[in-house]
Amino acid sequence: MPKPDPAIIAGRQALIHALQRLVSDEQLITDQSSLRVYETDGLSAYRQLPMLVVLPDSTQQVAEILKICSEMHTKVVPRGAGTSLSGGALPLEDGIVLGLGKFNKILDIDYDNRCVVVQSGVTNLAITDAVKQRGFYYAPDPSSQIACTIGGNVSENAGGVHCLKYGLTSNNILGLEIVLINGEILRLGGKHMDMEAYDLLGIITGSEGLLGVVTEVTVRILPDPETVRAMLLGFPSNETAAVCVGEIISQGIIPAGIEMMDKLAIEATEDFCQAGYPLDCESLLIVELDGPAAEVNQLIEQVSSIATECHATSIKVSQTEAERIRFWTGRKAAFPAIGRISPDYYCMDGTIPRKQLPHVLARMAEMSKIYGLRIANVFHAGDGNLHPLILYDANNPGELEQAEAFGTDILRLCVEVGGVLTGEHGVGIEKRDLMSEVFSEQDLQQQLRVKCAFDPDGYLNPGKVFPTLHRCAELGKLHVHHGKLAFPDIPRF
Amino acid sequence: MPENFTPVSVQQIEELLKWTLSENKTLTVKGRGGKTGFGHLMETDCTVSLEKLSGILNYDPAELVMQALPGTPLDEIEAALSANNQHLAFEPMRLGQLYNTHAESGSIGGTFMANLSGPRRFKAGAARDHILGIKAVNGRGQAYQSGGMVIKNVTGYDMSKLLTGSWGTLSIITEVIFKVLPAPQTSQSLCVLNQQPEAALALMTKLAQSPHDISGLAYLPGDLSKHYLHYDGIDDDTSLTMIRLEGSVLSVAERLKSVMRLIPHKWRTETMQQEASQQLWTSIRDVSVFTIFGNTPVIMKLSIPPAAATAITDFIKASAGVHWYMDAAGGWLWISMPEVLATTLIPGIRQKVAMHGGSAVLYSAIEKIKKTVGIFSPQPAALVALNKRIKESFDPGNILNPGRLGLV
Repeated sequence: MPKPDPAIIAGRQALIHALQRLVSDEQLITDQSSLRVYETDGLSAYRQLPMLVVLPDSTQQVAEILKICSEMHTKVVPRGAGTSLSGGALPLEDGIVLGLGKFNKILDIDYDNRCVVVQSGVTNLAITDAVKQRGFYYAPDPSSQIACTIGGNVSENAGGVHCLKYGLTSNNILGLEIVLINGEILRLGGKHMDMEAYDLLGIITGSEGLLGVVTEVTVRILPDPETVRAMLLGFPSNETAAVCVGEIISQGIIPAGIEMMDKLAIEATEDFCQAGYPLDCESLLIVELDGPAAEVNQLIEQVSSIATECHATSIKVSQTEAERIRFWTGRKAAFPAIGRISPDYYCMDGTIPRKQLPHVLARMAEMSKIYGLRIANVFHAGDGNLHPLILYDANNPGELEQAEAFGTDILRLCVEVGGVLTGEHGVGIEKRDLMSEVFSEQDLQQQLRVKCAFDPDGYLNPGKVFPTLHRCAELGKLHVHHGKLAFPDIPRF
Repeated sequence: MPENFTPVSVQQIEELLKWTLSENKTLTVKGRGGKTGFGHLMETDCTVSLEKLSGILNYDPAELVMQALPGTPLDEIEAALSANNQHLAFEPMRLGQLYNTHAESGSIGGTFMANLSGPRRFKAGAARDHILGIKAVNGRGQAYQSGGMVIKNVTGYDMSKLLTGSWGTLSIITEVIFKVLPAPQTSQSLCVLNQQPEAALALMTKLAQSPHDISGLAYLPGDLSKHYLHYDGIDDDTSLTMIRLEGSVLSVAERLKSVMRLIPHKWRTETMQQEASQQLWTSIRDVSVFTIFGNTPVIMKLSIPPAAATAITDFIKASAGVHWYMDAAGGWLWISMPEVLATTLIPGIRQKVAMHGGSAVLYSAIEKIKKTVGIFSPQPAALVALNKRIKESFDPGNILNPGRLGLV
């Protein structure tokens, strides 16, 4: 992390006084024991107490806090529910945490325009809960949807199990209110589809809290499909299951979701919550199909025959809604189930071209032997988005480091086969130092220049995403010699 | 000194941009020149055309991903996809007819730089929702890349989205990677005859709220529909509410029945013939329904909350010579108007749009009108300043399509 600035830490009391003029005592957390709550996020191997935590309850307050922080050269780490798996909300010793927990109101449910306007601290699932009685839902459904906030979803461009068909957060939001570090409040988009000028919605989504603080989000809601059914397909190996995924998509079928679980994950899950998964297979696919009843039935037949050709050992189709939900219970409980069979686990998030699935799964199994650490796979096979869980015990000296090294090797493998470091969890601090595996210095510099357009002094969430920080003034320079830019020849072509 | 450049490599583009910057020159950037009518008239020193950076680099249908050079004709892309029963789900419109650029399809690079889409927009998104990666050279002559060959990726900022819709003002793109999807097996359209705008909007809203996965909802008032009417016993000025269903044969047949049940019996409803409906959806997509009035020089596109559509059509209906139609379930209004009205009517429309929240982009007009009203609606100062800083972060010398969007 960037080296803490002692002068800023020394000025803590002055900052507290300045903030006390803006917010009530109840909104300002300064004592050690209460700060402890905020010392980490979903990447709990990393911990750091912040200087203080402030919990604004209006956009105006956010604007004033950011303005003060930038005037007092203080770094700001925005935080939703703190479920980031990449350390996106990890505090800084010389920075404050800006918690958005009080932004918990649903402001407008607008069925005619098929959208909902919410404050950024509203949870993902609360949106669907608010509209489900009218037969609507919000499509992106990350596993943490019960806890994670929509503002955090925007900052990480969260996905979930249905993004193959319904897209990521960036495809499902229409408008944002954001506050820049200088206190400017911007409203982008709205209840309409296309915004004017540059696609700022697009660049802010997935920017990991480095460009602005999201205070309000307008999301698109979709009508519930008429019929939804899920299939459990058992396979004799991970490779055969992976081939089947490719075959389904090759035949023009886009299921609502295709999830894959390997033997270790199946057994742990079945033991934990009895979802009815077949135990006589090495690999399991959960395929969900939605649409009109007749179409879904037809697709089930098609997928069944593809699975049979791909040597499936079992095919089970949900007959009732309760059964479909039970199929998913297992998948959604997979992480805690793994938590029961191992003291600790480390969840990775690389994405690869789908056709590389068999190769990468086989290579990961080899690596698992080399590192002597077990690995469980539960992931979004349709998107090629892997979530290998590396099982380790932090109480055994050196095992955490081994797990991290294993994880790094997996991500390098993803990049090697044409994939990327992260599909939906974000870079954060976790994958920051691997960015140069994917990007050249020049690629990163252009991203940093965009950062400078929003936050020229780098006060928002520094230390995340980018391996090296540059001063904006340096990045912005055009190298002039003798009063003139270097003079290249006239291009001749 | 050459005025027109047609680079064949990334390196040539880097050289060209370094030279342009150091010589204080400016560049007009185009793909294949199909959309040059958009934005302000530019007076630049040189033009760069990407037509020689053409070709599909990588296409594996099972991966649902295609990688292509920016100058590849859109027609070539769509033909390759079609041969594999796939398509660009965002249904990019063709601007060739609107800009009178020999009805050419334009390039895939231009398709993304213009963030094109079509009637399927409200269901399937726009070009921005399908871009996965980009390679480009910025206004400093430095090549960079973002994104990749995978569908799900949050590694670094989503630069590809920021570039999509930037009309060549931020960088010269040298490669695009985008998502492709299975094409529907069949398409079937219904039209409901003679609805007033309010009733049509209410029906479109009801259908868009239904689970029947409708992929086209448009409304053509009587003045625009007459070319497309082939039904007995109806007047020339009968309006058309269009409903499109796509998918497998079985699915479309099922959903068609469900949709019919949602349309009140008092409305006369006709199933459209394949060919006629295809032609009509293409005309709606490409804004060529206005061509029946001959020369329609001023055209704008509103993107609005659908429920606001009739408030805006009520506002403009009193003006003579103004025509409009709704697409994307009322989320879009295309408006054509005579030149004499433009400078007074457009600010009025924009004010009305601002009340509901929305955008109002001037797609076609003579430069004098564009200068007076702007390509985009007036924006708050903080947003104007941010757009300007973003432009500078890519193109500090303002050499790429300078002034085209009127943002700087």
